[in-house]
Formats: sequence, structure tokens, C-alpha cells
Amino acid sequence: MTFFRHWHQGVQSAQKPHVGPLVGGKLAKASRATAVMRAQDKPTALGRRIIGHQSLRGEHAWSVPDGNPTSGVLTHPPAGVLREVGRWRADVTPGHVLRLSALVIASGQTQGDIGASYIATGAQGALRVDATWTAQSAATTTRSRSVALPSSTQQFGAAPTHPWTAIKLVKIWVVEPASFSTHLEVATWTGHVGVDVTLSHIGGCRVVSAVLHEVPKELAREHDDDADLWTSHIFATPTVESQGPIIGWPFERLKDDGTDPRGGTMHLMDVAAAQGLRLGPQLISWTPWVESQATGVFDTEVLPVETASSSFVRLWDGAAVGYDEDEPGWSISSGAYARGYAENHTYWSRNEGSIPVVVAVYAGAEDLTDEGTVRVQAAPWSWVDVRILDRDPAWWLGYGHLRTGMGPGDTSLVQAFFRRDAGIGDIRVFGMSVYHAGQYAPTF
Amino acid sequence: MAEWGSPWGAATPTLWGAGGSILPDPTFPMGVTGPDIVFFGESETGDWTELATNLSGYPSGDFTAGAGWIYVDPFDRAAGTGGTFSFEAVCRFNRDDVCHLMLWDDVYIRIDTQDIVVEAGGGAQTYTIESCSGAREVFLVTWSMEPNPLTTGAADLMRSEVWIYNYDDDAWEGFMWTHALATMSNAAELIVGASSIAGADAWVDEIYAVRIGRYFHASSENRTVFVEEPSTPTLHGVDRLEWPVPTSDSGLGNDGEFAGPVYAMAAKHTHSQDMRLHGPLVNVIGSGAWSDESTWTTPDHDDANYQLHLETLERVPVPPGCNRVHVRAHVQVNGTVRFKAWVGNGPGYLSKPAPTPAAITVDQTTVAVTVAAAHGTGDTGGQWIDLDVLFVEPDGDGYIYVVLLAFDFVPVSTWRWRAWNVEPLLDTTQDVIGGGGGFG
Repeated sequence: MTFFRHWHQGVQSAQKPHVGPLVGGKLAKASRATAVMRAQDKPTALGRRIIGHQSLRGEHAWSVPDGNPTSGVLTHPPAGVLREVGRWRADVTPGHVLRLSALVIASGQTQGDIGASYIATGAQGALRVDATWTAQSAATTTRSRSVALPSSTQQFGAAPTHPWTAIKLVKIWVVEPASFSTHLEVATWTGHVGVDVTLSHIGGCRVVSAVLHEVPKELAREHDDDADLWTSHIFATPTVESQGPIIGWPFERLKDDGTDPRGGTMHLMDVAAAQGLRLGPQLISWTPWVESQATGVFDTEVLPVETASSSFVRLWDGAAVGYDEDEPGWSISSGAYARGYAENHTYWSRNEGSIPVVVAVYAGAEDLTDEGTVRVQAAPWSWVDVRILDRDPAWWLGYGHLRTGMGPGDTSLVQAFFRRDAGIGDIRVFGMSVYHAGQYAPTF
Repeated sequence: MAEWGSPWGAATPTLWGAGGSILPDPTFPMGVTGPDIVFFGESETGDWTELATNLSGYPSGDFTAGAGWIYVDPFDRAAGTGGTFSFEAVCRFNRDDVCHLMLWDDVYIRIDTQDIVVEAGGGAQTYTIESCSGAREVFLVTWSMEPNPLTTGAADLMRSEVWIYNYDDDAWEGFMWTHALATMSNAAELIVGASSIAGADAWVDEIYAVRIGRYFHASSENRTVFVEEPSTPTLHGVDRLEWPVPTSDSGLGNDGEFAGPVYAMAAKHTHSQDMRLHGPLVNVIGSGAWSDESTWTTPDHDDANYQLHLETLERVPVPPGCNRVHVRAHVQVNGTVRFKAWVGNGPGYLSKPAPTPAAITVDQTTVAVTVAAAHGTGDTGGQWIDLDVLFVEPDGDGYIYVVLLAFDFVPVSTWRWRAWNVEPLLDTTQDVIGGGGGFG
């Protein structure tokens, strides 16, 4: 097996080779062909896609109490217990790992279980990320990373009166697969990979904003790996910016015996197609969790939004029906940067744009017989439906095409709805991710 | 009543198919060798002879006009026996009609009283058209079929979308489902307006226009073509659309072919790929809390009337190539409130009780948007405001801070943010600052 591998370090911008020297009537030079292959390696190294996001969402009161714990009664968050606040899914951009950045206020008081009672266990808190990557082969690997948060020094772990004076930044610099060093490991986990992530609070967290996003690291491919889309050539090693192999004249592949497929005209076309299919934005990362959710600091999982309505109601407002451009929603305007040519031909799709997406909904139901539908709608004529077919919470997927418009400035508004199609109980939605997915077989 | 569109009049540009597929079934004819799109007919009066006339610009001949239907036998103009397919028709019917709209081999679409029935790959789907009444009304009926990326086997190898637009009611409906690979043989006839060449199940009313294709048409495109072309938007920053490159199975990159065109096209392609990983930086649905009650505020250093609200503060990574962000917010106001957004790269606001301009490395606030309204205090209501475009310069780790500001102009106002989003963009008339934040 021959592996090709390079680091994405130092790639800060795309490269745009001049087209002029490549057109007819110009002298053919290997260096110009090399520049094109090197440039094709750059788009894959530019990801900062936000996979998960938890914030205050406009709330301005902490769920962690400021006062003294009531002796023998659980009034403050239990120390050491994970409380899930968000669950998301993504098709990982090849060669990317995860990073967490969070703005927090000093953590508050916790309590410990001493059998029949509770005692104060001090102001403390931590954020934890649990990630499970799934390869196309169905192999999985996991990684958990946590970061301790600064603790309140005020009496009873109270929050500061003026939080603007006390904001702290915490990071988890890398969340990557458990084994991620050999060529085979890196090739496996930078190939065609999906990831499920959860973000949890531990203890008396006071989180203003937490963003879990992709960051480019390194990429490896085995030379005859056709199962994963080659979204880049891996032309230069050890980094994208390094010296690449010498080519004397254009080949279909860099070596005719197939041991080095990185360069050549065939690979140029394959990489272009693969980028169109495989690279695209993460558009929506939604959690229904709010700081004021009913069970406060005691529940270990996100409280879902629920409905028993047989007609569509809005995901965050059960009294609202119908797509309404005057009401709140998400924007996916920047998804227009990933518009594919065939779907957005300039003759037919003038002043308009859409992209293929997967809508992933983590949902369940109250009763075994319940079935429902979640609809993500981007225009009166554009939506994707996801069927919910089981009681136990699980990821349910839908594929379709959502209107993005032409880009920022061309307004995009996305709203989500859900309903119960059959059964007697509530349909429950715990989280949702929406991401670009071209015509390829996704991992999930 | 909206007028149905007349999209043709110029020769159809050549397409290279649907962009290829790596789905494992080799029967997908993604390397379509025949004309990719075939157009038939346009008539304000539903004249069948006119409808049978090929207006596509391809020299592939006309359909044969029947007494109330049109057909071609065999329909050999689209290569392959399965894969992608699309059919669109502008037609008139009511809820009493029972007739065929189109049939080709084992795929068909027909009207059966108020239902529309579509069959592909052996399974029929029935959908009740809500906007179909006793009145004769004009509808756009579109059907697009493509490989199902979420397939679990032969039974759901394909997916289809049917969208129905009622021109009289300006109402959209649609449904989608998965099914097996459909049989669409080059040797079979294709009939529009009946289920046989002899005219069985003939269309009761008029068919004004038909388009038949071999690649997937998204609903947004069909709406543009047949219903309404959006006006040209005023975009913030650059526009990006993938530059077309043939797939390698076209043979263009083979040994013996000129290499130059491939290199030139691939070079051009990279120009369109630099922002395709960009997605929304902030995409928040508010919890419902009333923002006027917040005490988590601090004054803006440029104008102390404006308060920054901590409950909207975000620190987000800036993708390389982004040098501006576009901010929109949905607000619900009772009174008069002025809104702004602030973007900065330094923690100046984040460490001092009284922030000073010197503590902030780079920052900018938008021009204020004033909202004077009585939106009420219910769970619905409010309006979107455009907070325009802000300069960004990320910090060393590649992040910016974003926060919303408000000037409660009439202090008795009640108001809240119900949603806000921040989108990256590239303004090429301005400097481009690197995103940072990698492993370099």
C-alpha cells in the first residue's frame, strides 16, 4: 500500500492560478500544470465550518443559583454529572478535526450526593465534547475531551453582578479520533467520515457561547482508494505548500502504473467533481436547549420540543403554522457559495440558487406507535421532509434541495416544522443539523 | 393570476449531465450521450400541433400530434434506461378529471379526480392536491427524479420530487418519496396527454407547455423557469457558482487528448471553489426572553446610548477568504428601539468594566436601524432588520466577536431579539485578511 499524506498547516487562502497561460497558443509548461494541481489542494484545507453551537439565545439569567445550597436538598447542579446541551451531526470535511471555543462566566456552586443527602461541593464547572466518527466502512472511533472552567470566587459561587467584567475564554484545541497517527489511521479518519458530537455541561457552568467547529489538520489517502472521493491531489508533501513531485509532461495520472494517482488530467477532473459533491457548508446546528429549560440544572439531556399536532407547527412555537417570511428563522445565504453548476445553470436558474442538503434530525416519540415528520423549509416551494419512525431517540435523515438564494444580500429564510402522522403521543425533537451533501453515498 | 413562463426562445445550452455520481450502481447513465434536455411545445391555446413541435433547439425531431395528446415512438433521444429524469407541464384540470399527463415505459403521472398519481420503479404514489377545486385552473406540475444518496438498497435507489403550483391561487404543494430504479427504455414510446398512442385515458383539458429532461431540476429552478424569475438581488460581496468541468468518464482527460483544456478548466474551477465551505457564522433562534429586561449590558464606547447585550455575544471562527459579514436580526418591538451590531477582534469589551476604545484592537458597529412599532407581546410578531455589512479582522486564533446592541430610545419599550444571523462574505474591493486558526 502506498499512502500519500500532507499537512494542511499554513494554508490561509485559496490559490487561483492564472488561466491565461493555459489557453491555446501559449507555450505548455509543466510548472503551469503543477500550479493547477497545487491550487486544487487548497479548497479542502480551508474549513472552519461550525458543527455545533450552544449559546444563551437571548436569555439573561443563569440557571445555576447564586445562593447558599439548601442543606440536604438538591438545589444546585450535581458535581461531576454530564448534562447534555447539544447534539449534532456532520459529514466531516476531509482532513479536518474539531475545535471548541467558548466564552464563559465563572462557574457556580455544585452539590454532591452523599447517599441520603447532599452537600455543597464548591464552585466548579467543565465543558465536555464527545465525538464519534463513523467511516464509510462503518468502523467507528470516539474521543472525549473536556476543559475545566474558571470557578467563581464569590460567596456561594455566585455569578458576578456585572458579567461583562468577568468573561473568560476557554478552548479545547483539538478533538480528533482516538488513534490518529499512522498513515492508515489518518487515511481512515480523513476519508469519507461522518461525526456525531455532543456538548455537555458538567457542574455549575455558566456558558455565554460555545462553538464547536472544524479546523484543517492533515489528510492521507491510499493510492488506489476509490471509495473515498479525492477532493484534493495531495500533490505536495509534507505540507500543501511544500515542493511537489516533478512532472515532465501531462499524464492521465502521475504514474501510468497507477501507484501514484495524484496528478494528471484524469485526476484534475476527478478532483473537480469530488469537490463539487463532497465539499460544502454546515448550514444549521440547532439545539432546543435553553438556560431556563424546565428542569434547570438537573436534567442530563436536552429537553425536546414536542407536538401531537397532526398538521405542521413550527419547531420552536407550537402555536405557529405555515412558512412566514416575517417570522424568525435561520439564514443559509452563504450556502450559495457551494452552488453546483448543473443545479444552478445560469440560463434556467437566473437570480436564484439551491443546493443539495441532508437534514439530520435527532428525534423520537412518546409512544411506540408514533410516527411523524420534520420539515425544513427555505421557501414556499422548497423544503425537505424527514420521517420519524420510532419511539427511541435516533438520527433520522432526509435529503433534498433547499433554496439558498444567490448569497448574502439575497435574503434566505429557513424555518422548521413538525407534526405527528400516526400514533397517540408526542413527536419529540432533540436536535438538528443541516449540511450540504452532493450526489454521493454519505457515511450515515 | 400569475402567467406561466415562456422560458424558451433560445437554443438550449449544452449541459454535461448532473455532475456525476459515485453511487455504486453502474446502471446510472450519468455519462448521458444523447441530448440532455428535450423541449416540446408552447401554445397559449393548448394547440396540440403546436405542442408537438420541438422547440428545444436540438435537431431531434417533433412529436406526433394526436387528437388530444402527443407522442413519440420510440423515445430514443435520451440515452440510458434509468437514472435521472424530469418532466414539467403547464396544464389545466379540475377535480373531476381522470386522465394521463405522461407515460414512458413504466413511469407515468396522471390525474385521478383530486389526486395526482405518480409511478416509478414499480410503486405508485398518490397525493391529494389541496388547491385543486371544481374550477378549471392552470397548474404547473413538475416531477424530478435522481439517485437517492441515502439509499439502503434496490428498493430506494432513486428519489423523486413532485411539485404542483396553482397559478390562480399562487399556491405551492409538493411531496417526495424514494423508489426503485425506473425503467425508461429507449425503445418505448413517450406519450403526453394519454396512456397510449391511440389516445387511451386522454387528457380532458388543455396542456400548454411541456419540458422533458434527463437531469434533476430543483424546485427553485422550476419556479424560476415556469412561474417567476426573481429580480436581480443586490449581493453583498462576490457571487460564486461552480465552474463546469466534465467528469473523467467523458474521456477528455484520456491519453491522446489535448491536456491543455483540462488544465485550463480545472484552473478556472479552483476560482469558484474558495468559499464553498463557508456557512453561517451565527444562526440563532431566540429563546423568547425579553431583552429590555436584561441587566447584562455594557455601553458602547462610541455611543453610550447603545448597550451591548451579553446574551447575544458570540465568538466565532472566520473562514479564510472572508473579510466582511452580513448581519440580520428579527426583532419584536413595542415602542421605539434602535439596533446595531458590533464586530471586533479583541477582548477589549470582555475584560474591563468601562471599555475604552484603546482596549479594542479592531472593531466596527453598523449603522443603526430604528424600529418604531407595536408588534405586541405574543409569540408571533416582529420584523426582520438588516444590520448591513461589517468589516472583520480575526484575532490570532482566527476568531471574531459579534454582539448585538440596542438603544432603548423610549425607555418604556418592550422588545426582544427573536432571531439573528451572521453570514460571511468577500468584498473584493477591500483587503482580504487571512482567517488564521489552523495548525500553522
